Amino acid sequence: MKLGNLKTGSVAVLALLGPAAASAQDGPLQIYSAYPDEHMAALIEGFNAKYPDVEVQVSVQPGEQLLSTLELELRANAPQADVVGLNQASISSLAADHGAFAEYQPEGIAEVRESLRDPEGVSVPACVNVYLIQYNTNAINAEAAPTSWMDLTAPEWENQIAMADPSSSQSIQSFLWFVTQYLPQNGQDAFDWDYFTQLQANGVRLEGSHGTIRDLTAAGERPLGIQLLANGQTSANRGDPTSLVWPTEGSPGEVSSFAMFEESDNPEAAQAWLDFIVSPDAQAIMPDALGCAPVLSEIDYAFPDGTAVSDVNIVPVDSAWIAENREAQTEAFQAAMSN
Amino acid sequence: MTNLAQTQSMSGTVAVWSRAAYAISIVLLVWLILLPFAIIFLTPFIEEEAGFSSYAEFFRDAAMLRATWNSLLVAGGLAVLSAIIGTVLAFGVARTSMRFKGLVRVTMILALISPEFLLAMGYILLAGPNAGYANVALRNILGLGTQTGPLDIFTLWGLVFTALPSGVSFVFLALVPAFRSMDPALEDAARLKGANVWRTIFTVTLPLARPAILTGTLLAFATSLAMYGPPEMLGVAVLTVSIREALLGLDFDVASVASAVLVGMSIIALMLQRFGIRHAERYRTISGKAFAPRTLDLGPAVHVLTVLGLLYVMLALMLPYGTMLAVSLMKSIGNGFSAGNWTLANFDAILTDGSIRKAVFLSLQLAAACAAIVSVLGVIVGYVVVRTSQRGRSLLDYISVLPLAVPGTALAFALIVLYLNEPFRSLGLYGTPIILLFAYLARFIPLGVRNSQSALVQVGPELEEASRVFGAGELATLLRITLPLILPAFIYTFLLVFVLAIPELSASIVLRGFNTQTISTSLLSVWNGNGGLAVACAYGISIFVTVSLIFGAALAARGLAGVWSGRKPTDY
Repeated sequence: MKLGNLKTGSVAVLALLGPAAASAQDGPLQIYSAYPDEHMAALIEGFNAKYPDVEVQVSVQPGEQLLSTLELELRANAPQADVVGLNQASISSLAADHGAFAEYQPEGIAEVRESLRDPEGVSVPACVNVYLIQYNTNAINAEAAPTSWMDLTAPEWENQIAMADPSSSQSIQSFLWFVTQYLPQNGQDAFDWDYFTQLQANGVRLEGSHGTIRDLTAAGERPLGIQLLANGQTSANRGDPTSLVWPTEGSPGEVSSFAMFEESDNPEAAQAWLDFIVSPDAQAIMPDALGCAPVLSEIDYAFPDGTAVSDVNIVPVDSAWIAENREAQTEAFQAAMSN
Repeated sequence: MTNLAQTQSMSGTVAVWSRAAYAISIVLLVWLILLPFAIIFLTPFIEEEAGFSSYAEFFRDAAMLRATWNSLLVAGGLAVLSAIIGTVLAFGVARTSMRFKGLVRVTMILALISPEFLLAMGYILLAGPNAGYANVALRNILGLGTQTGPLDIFTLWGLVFTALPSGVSFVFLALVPAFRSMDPALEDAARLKGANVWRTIFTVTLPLARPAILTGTLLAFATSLAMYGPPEMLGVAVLTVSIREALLGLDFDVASVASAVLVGMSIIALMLQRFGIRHAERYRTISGKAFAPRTLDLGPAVHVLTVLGLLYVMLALMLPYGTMLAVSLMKSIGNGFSAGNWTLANFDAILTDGSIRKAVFLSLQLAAACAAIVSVLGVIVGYVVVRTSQRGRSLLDYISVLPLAVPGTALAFALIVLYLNEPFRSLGLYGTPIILLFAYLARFIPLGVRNSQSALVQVGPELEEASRVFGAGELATLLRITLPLILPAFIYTFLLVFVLAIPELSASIVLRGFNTQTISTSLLSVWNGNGGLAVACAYGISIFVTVSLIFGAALAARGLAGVWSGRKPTDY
């Protein structure tokens, strides 16, 4: 039998076996992730319950650093992983420059809210991560805490705030878009790049990742953080003395996603991972796992502070716009911060 | 066979071995050192074809000029402070009756071998302006009504302070042997002429120690220029951070020029050092006579030295690592030293995390491979330089010390350019641990070559000649006479490179990928939120203890071999 026939034959036999095919996924599955290990751990546990023979290995880097690592590996024609976990805008940006990702429509993608799906069919949405303000409850009373993004420019918060640096963090691009594009276009004229100049004047500290900001906020070193919900969830799990504020102007929500490489060494396991991500099982643990809101509307969900999703103004970010303009946004941010 | 025939036959064998050793040395040194070194300077002319305009643009860019100025300021400030504090403490330990000498000496060695980013972690926890433990304590003690300060580690001078313990130890470890080996007759002569003890110190002792002061100070200067971890963690813009940021933005032009400027500054520093010790014979006081180090009576002033020594021990060891240990045992860093906030879970997280285990394993493998190759290559290059009359051997000597002037971030940048482009791209090394090994080898070759050179110089050639006279060939002489005699130095070099390579950060962070995550990059990742500060402290304490134990083993190996006399880690 020729090799091709052998493969076809094997596929036919596997198809006949039906559900047992799921257990055929095995071997190592390497995932590059911008999501921390402790967030990935719950997802991996759920995945391994279904695919016990796949050994998931994760390598974590802050998003923008991971983008740069991937860019260099793709230039060398040597992507080192099977799957990557980044936000939708970052994956789109990478896909625009390199045809390195495989298009894949996981089982169950049809159940995902249409507005969150990637029109290119490359990235698979996992959950929605939103920006809010995290504060240290030992340093700031609930009544005194800021209630809006604009409050952060008030002198009373001088040298108290931390935010992520776009030269290192991918997600902060969503916040930059929200402040300089969405809010001005929706009647909030007080917001533009000058907002960041004001934050700079107020002594904002830039950090490489939102995880560092979470710890600085928890420690009280920077009692106010422009933060992602996922880290608010981690703080809640750890018992940190912190709480969350949903700013009155609204919260940009970005789509945390996964995509698989065309050159994956283990495409079956990579596809199984993507199938799992949008499955009701994974979506049910998504708040505990990635610390963010599920993409299946059928899953009941409340934020870590008990707030219902319906009570919060979440603004879906324009991932396509961010993918096209991320470099210009970073430069404009740096210019605003050096004014 | 006549004596003449014997000599001719012997020189023929020597020539073959010399030529083979020379060929191996030149190929490896060009591949590992010269090629990346050239890439740093040539990239704007090859990769982006921007040429000299990249340099013009660099010097018009306010942010780059600020980073250059900051690098110089930090390195300069650190060098001056290190020279003063290091000289005072070395003098105290070597020549006075100050107390706690052993403690100071151990702290100096620990400050030198432990990764600098660990101290940065400790100091951030201590001197963060809002919630740093030292700041909170000082505000309470001094009754300050402010919510911030008085200390702020996130500044340029905070960075100098963070790097100070290792800078001081460079000067200290270079100076102690110099102070100990001085001929007391020179000081006696000054005293007989009526000079008091202070005048003797300033007119005789310190001037005689000038080469060692210069060596230690310039090593501190060059090392702080190359520092990456602490400025990155403190958010201070220096050139190493600019190189990394340029690479993150895939701006190879800027990365190249920033690297070239940094390398240029380091080369100037090293040339200054060579210039400063060009008349070494004037300062040579070791003449084969055995000197007992004379203890000078400074009167009550010796207590000042004891206090300064203890202050150093507190600031370089006790406070930062003590704070890290405390935080590593906390459930939530936000709840501080409160009951019910203590746990061992952070250590458990380190021990059970698969990616950390993988990183630790890779670092140990890389460090072992690097140490083995550097030790062997060091002997080969050292042999060519010291024992042969090959033309061009001094060139080998120069190439082998070149990496001292190349910061890890700049070296890693060059390796990226080299292995992302043909012809080397087809080797498929990018993203693999091999590229990290190349970086480590280049970084640590100077240590191997210099240590083996010193060891070979100490072995009198008469023993080798005697072996040859009795008919042994060159290889047999090398294996039976020379190598056994330098074996202790060989083992010491292996262990020293091993211990220094384990926490290598500045090249590793730039080359980080799926299969190239090392101990230091994974620690930085944990610190940067992938685990958090408390877990990072547990990880940091574990690294500190491991590195200290291995270095203890290195010292024991050297002590057992009886080669303690004089050579120190500052040989690097």
